Formats: sequence, structure tokens, C-alpha cells
Amino acid sequence: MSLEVLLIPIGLAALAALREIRSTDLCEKCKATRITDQALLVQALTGVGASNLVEADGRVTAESRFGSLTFQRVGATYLGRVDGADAVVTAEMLTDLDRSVGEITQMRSMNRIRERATELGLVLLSERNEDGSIQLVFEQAS
Amino acid sequence: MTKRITVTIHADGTFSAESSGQAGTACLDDMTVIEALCDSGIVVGSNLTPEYFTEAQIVRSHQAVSFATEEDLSS
Repeated sequence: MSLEVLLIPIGLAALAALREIRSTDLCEKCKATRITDQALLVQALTGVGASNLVEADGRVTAESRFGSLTFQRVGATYLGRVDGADAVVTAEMLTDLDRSVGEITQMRSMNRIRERATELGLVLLSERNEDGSIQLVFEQAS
Repeated sequence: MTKRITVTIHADGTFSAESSGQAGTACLDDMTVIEALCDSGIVVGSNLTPEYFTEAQIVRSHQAVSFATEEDLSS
């Protein structure tokens, strides 16, 4: 290999944005997520079994096995909490949510990359799933 | 060598892409292909792998041999 490129899916924040958001205090007891896209947040909440989702611009509430949830967009990123719960419960909920975000973005990215590869004339040589990561190897069609 | 692009999509949704099969600086052109292929993501970093420098050295040493040959011919 000669060149390596690292990417973050659209809809997720870069680390710099996360550091910035952690310093804000506009949502009491909320913790930062890496989500910047409300549609992705709603899909991820559905993925972890949340129900009664109510959406407004930059705000989402829901019911979950952890209790009532509130998410608020602050800057570019969403912050979230389990209403009335301590930080440990909120952290558990966000870990669960983040796993769901990972699964969704992984599938989205894989489908989009395959689609683009066809458009660019790249041939899929192999596809391997290892430790939760999916590796796709493409070759330039001659 | 045939140009290959390897994309690894991690469980957390982030992904990385690597190119191979291009000698030396030619691999830098692969950045355009990678960006076009991975348009669902934002590039947050890139680097040349150790193999790049190995390949670049091989290319340079071949060039040195060529120069020596040309000098021999002209003298």
C-alpha cells in the first residue's frame, strides 16, 4: 500500500467538533454524541428500540428501556440524556445508541461505495467481514 | 502492477481506504479516485505508507543507474 486515507461518514462529527461541543452547557446533564444528522439520530433510536419519538427542529424526545430521552442539537452536534437519571445511565444509553449509529453508517457506506465503484468502473475483487469490519477490495477495470 | 483500492468500513461507521499498485508518486493520483469512491465520507487525514517510500527509493535508484549509463555513452 502506498497511500492511506481516513474518512468519517457524513452525518457524524469530527473529533474537533466533539471537543468543542463538550465545553457547552446548553442542555443540562446532556452528554455529547457524534451525530450531526437528525434523521440518523431518529434511525439509530429506532434501532435500539426507542418508541414514541417526537421530533422538532434540533430536538428529539423518545421513550426507551433506560427511561425518557431528550436530545438537543447544540452547534452541529446532538447532545443527549436520560431524563432524571444519573450520568452512568446516560452513558450506557449513549453507548447503546452509538453502536446503532455505527451499524447504520457502516451499511450506508458499504452500499454507497459499491454503487460508486460501479459508476467509476471499479471491479469488486473481494469482500471480507472480520471483527465487525467490512473490507472491500476493488481493482481498476482495464 | 494493477491498481487496487482497499476500503475498510469499521464497526463504528468510520472507514479508511488504501491504494496499491502504483509506483512512487503516481499513487498520489489515487486520492482523486478514493474521494470519488468514498463520497459518503469526509476525509479527515491521509498519509503515505512506508511502502511508498520504499517504492520511491527503488524508482530513484533506477534513475541513478540510467544517468550513469547516459554519461558512459557520452564520454
